[in-house]
Amino acid sequence: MFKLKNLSIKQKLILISFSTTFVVLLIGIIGNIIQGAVLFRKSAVRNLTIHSRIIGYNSAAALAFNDRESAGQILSALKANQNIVNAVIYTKEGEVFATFNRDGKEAFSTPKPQWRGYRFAINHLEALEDIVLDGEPIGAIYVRAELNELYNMMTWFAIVVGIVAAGAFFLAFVILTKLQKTITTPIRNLTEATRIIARGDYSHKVNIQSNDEIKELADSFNKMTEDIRRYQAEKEKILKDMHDGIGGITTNIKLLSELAQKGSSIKDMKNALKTISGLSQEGLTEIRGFIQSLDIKDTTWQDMAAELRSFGSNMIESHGLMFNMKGLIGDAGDQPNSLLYLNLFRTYKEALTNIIKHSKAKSVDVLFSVNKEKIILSVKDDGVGLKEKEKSAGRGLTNMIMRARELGGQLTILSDKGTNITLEIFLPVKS
Amino acid sequence: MLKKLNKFSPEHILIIILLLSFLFRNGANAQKPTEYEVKTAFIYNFAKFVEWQKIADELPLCIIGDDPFGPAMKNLEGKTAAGKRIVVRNISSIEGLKKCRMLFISSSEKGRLSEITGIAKDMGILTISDTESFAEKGVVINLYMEDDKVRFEINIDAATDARLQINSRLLSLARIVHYKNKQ
Repeated sequence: MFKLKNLSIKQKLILISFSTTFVVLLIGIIGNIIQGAVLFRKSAVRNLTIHSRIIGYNSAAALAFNDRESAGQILSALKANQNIVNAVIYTKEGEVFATFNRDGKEAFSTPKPQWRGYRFAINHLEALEDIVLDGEPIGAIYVRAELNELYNMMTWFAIVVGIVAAGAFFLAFVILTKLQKTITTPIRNLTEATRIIARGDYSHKVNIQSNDEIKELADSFNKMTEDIRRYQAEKEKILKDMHDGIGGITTNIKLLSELAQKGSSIKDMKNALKTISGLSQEGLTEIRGFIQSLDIKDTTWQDMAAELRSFGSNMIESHGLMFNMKGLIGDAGDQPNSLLYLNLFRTYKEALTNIIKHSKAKSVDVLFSVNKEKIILSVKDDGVGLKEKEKSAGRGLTNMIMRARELGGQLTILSDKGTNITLEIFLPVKS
Repeated sequence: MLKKLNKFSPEHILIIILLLSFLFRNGANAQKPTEYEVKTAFIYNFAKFVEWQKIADELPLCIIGDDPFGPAMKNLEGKTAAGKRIVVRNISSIEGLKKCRMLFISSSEKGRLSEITGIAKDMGILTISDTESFAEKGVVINLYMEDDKVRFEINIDAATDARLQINSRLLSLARIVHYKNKQ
């Protein structure tokens, strides 16, 4: 069974447009034909009435002077109008005074009817008018016309209206077929794009030339695929990082365990186990960081500042150092993304670990500032400071510098009395 | 023989009445109109087909000479034609013409016809008669009998001379004549 919902948008559009056009044209045609019929009828009545009045006027004298022959001659002038088949002049008393019957047509002559005006029958129109002389009715004139011509005219009129309507319908067909493409083509492009993206190609862009709701839809769609693509890339990066980080730690643990197994002295084994324990702790922290970074969907910069504060104070104060943190959170537009979160945290953790391990500092001051232009994370201690060689060679510092570059930022290390490591990331953050 | 209407014999009148009765029957019991009743009706209708100018409310209809109409003409008294009230007058002298706009000239006036028509023409009077050859002699409308019917002829020249505007519908029914041996 035919169902509208099963049709394509193109078919629906064409069907809707055509049915609307068809209904409008049909109403127009019916209106036109009715109007035409009314006008033709009026015209026929006027025509016949004019004839009957002219004949009535001209035959007044013949009637007044009882001249039937002249009256007959006057009536015979009606021969000129092919539609008129019968005419009768009646005396005032209602007697037939003169008649006209077209050759080959049925004769008509009856006592004067009592009505006045005009009357329509199926195939004829008749008019009956008073013949007036000097303000007094002195008789009446009856004229009967066949309606063949009227019907012929109406038929022709209907044919012409029909042809014009068919032409209009055809023209509408051509125009609608062209116009519907402005809607269906973008929708088809969009549909095609979803198919391509569904196959996994997130780099595909929908290109819509129009400037309407479909364009808006396409733009939203493009943004959505772009987000998916970025998220995908981020995810891949995180997984790679995870593989490198956790993988490295696990490999180290494995190597150390093997060494410990082969080792002969208890001291060596203890050392190995201590290192393994540290590595395991590092691994756990790393995993927690990953999990946190993956779960930052609704995390704000404020949340991040709180996280940094909590992590820093736990880590620093447990080693007997003073910890201070200042957060300056302005309007940065975007929320922090996972990659930024992870790298920022790693850098932070690395810096704090260095302070605990090497600085001999008593207190640590952290500044976390976010505004529209950049993110600054500054970690400052009052320890012994870094030697010039350590600034460039230390593995931890190299990692931090690499991470800063990946994020499109830079890492500045100032070391005089104590150390000040400042990470600046310029917004928007690189994906 | 019927064309010589000015010389009626009783037989003629009888025949005319019988013939007219076919034309003017008003139901089975209605009285048949006489010849002069028909002519009276004609004269009354003539008034309706003439454009009367410079005339007040009254339309004086005079009969000069012997009155052949009898009471029939008196019936017109008070009727209106072309919006004018008809007043019927019998006159005998030429002087009486001054008061007329329509004038029936009896056959008895044959002797002074040219005198009457001359004055009538100057005064714009519509002259009517029912005597053969009167039209050719200057009477505007002359009634005659043809095929037992009352007919009329119009001297178009006389009408023009008298500055009378006669409706074309009336002219179309009339036999048009002109002056005979007009000077």
